[in-house]
Amino acid sequence: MNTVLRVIMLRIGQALATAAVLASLCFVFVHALPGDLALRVAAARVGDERVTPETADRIRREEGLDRPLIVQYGQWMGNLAQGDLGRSLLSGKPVKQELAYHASFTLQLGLIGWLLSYLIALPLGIMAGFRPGGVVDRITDALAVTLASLPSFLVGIGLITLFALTLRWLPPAGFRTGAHMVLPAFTLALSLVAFSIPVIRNAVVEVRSAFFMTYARVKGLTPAAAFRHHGVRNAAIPVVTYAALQFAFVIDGFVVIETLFNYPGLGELLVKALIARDVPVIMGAGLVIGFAFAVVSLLADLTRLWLDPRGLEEARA
Amino acid sequence: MTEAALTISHLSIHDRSGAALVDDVSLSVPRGGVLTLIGETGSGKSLIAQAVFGLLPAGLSVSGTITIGGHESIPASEPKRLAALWREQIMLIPQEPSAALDPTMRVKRQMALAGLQEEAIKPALAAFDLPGSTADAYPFTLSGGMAQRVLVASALGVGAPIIVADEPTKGLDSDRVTQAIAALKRLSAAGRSLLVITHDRRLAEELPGELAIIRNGRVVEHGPSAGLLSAPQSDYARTWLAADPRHWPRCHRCCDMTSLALSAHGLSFGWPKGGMLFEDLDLHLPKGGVLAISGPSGSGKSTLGDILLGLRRPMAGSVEWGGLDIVAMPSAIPPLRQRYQKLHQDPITAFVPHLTFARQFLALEDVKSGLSAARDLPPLLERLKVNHRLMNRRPCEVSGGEAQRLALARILLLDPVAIVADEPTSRLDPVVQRETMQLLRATVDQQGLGLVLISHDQPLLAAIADEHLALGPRA
Repeated sequence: MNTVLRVIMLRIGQALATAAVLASLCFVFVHALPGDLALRVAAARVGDERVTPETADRIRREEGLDRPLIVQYGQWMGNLAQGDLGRSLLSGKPVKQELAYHASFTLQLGLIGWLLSYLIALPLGIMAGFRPGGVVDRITDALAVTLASLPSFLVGIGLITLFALTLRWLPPAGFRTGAHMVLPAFTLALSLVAFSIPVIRNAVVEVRSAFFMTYARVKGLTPAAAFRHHGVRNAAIPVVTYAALQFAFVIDGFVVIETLFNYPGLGELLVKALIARDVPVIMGAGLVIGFAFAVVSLLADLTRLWLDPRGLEEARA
Repeated sequence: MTEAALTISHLSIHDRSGAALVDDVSLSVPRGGVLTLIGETGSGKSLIAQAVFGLLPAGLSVSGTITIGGHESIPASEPKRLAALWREQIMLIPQEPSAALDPTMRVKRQMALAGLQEEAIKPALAAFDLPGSTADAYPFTLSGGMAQRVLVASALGVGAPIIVADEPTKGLDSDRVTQAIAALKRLSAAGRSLLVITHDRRLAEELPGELAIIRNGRVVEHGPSAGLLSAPQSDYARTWLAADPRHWPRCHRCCDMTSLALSAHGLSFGWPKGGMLFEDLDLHLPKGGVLAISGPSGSGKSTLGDILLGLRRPMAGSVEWGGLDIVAMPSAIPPLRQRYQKLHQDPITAFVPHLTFARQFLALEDVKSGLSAARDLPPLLERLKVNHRLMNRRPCEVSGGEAQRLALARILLLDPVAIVADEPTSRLDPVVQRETMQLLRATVDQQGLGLVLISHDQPLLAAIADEHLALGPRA
């Protein structure tokens, strides 16, 4: 257990360092973009038509954007060390508050969509894996290829047209009630399912062809019992890694789906912040997303270690 | 003859090209009796066992019938009906221990799932000299020999009246072979009927009952074991019996100690909870020399081989590849990796499962510049007596012995300086074993490469090695 604990501490340290580097890269890239940063902030605050060079200069002075970049960066790092992510150049609200507000929406929808995708993919993938080349396998394969090749906004528009506009069962956009979540969650789930079904199916096929599965049946286990005892755990090892990757992919927002359903998630926040050159928000988002990515992959590694004791020996070495 | 427990009649097995792998074989195991099948690698003897269980690989077509116990005859082409008799009527002791155990489940639970009572597990293991801690171990921490014994122990805990043992002594050292033979005799004495497939001559000699020699898918000779062994009728049976390593001429060779392919000094290694396997070990492998490493099952032979190849770090000591210490300088390994190669104990698992051999050999051209599989491979395959048709098969479609020769061909294409061969012929019958060993020895002599030969087969090592390093029993 000691080894595991040490690995965890090490990985969290690495995660924090990675997140800080990611945030710094955001700083560099935003400043490397062509155009006057203060002018873009001003345009976002007062509107494109009413912006004047004077407004831009005032913002430049007020927000300290005229200071040398290294000073601005140093101040940001100094504040970060005290847990302060600064204020948004656009709304003036603390970045922490902005991030927390939008992240809670993204996490909520992301988690539901992700869980929903595995509720769909696991039974289908397992059924397909049990009869490779069978009816279920061919149907899910066609489904996965179709979904993978359709952009998610098309899937979303399709769902809106059917369930919101034609059948009028569900609201087309917004975020106030549970019913608002259904369509975006399904759209997200379907775009994840396209890739997870083949992964699950292949893991099941591979495990089922392992000799220890055949031997378990020679020992007297029924095919179902052999799969329950020996198959599930072994097949879960690659699936867990893939599922974690998909979850990590989901937590940094799903811009297209959020925009389509007018949903205030992280993706939407980031797009707005990028257009307005809202440096503190962009850096804060980089920091949070980078750290969350690392934590999810750490959790995936721990789950894998728990499933597959062979990894523990590697961790010790 | 008494009533048969298991009857195989007119069994034929053909591959996709229509070639007969097993040709009209009819055999039977008397109730409570023993039938031993011996024969060379690729002779089809394991296919017969697989056919009895309905476990033939896809792509093979089969005809003939199997009759088990008092049940009606079942066509061998109906595996589902045969599967209905598993465990209750017929039980398998499989050939590949590492593949038959679930890598992620403790031994204890796997034995419990085979139907053993919780309290019966440790005595069952102890009967095969396995410590009680084996019950809590994961299969990957066991040596090949230990895993084999776990399988035998759990198979014997199942009450099926017919037991088919496919190479039950493969990978076991001499003491364990004695135990395995005793266990099989015990089963026979308890009234179980045994079908034993082996190329282990000792097993064939010591088991009572009948013996059948299989060659090219046909029964060459069949009769009571004692009579057949003392007075073989066919030429092939005589050749087979004469191929025992104990009868080989001893090989002495003066080695040039100044040019070493591989050496190691002060090596120590132990498992976190298992005590030390070996300490302060020195060894030298000259170019053109064969160094034998022997020791009982679990004594760390394979681990030492991995350390010499830079696949595992020792706790202390150095390993020199042509004078470069790869323990102190792991960066020296990648450029030399191609020239320090391993011949594995489980040859089939050393290949990518779903690609044909032809494609896997072709892929070597990306690894080694100047290599042409089309030019270099055919003469090598001829020397190794590998049928070129095997190149279009996948690893699961060849026998263990064929896979081992293909694995050797793959290594020789890389022009190695040193090869660590881990029980390279433990899965081959004596005739092919001698050929393979002679070939290894000839390659060592001609190309001046160093060979580390890991085995528990003392007569074999004595016949082929220049130097011998014995690892002690496990503390």
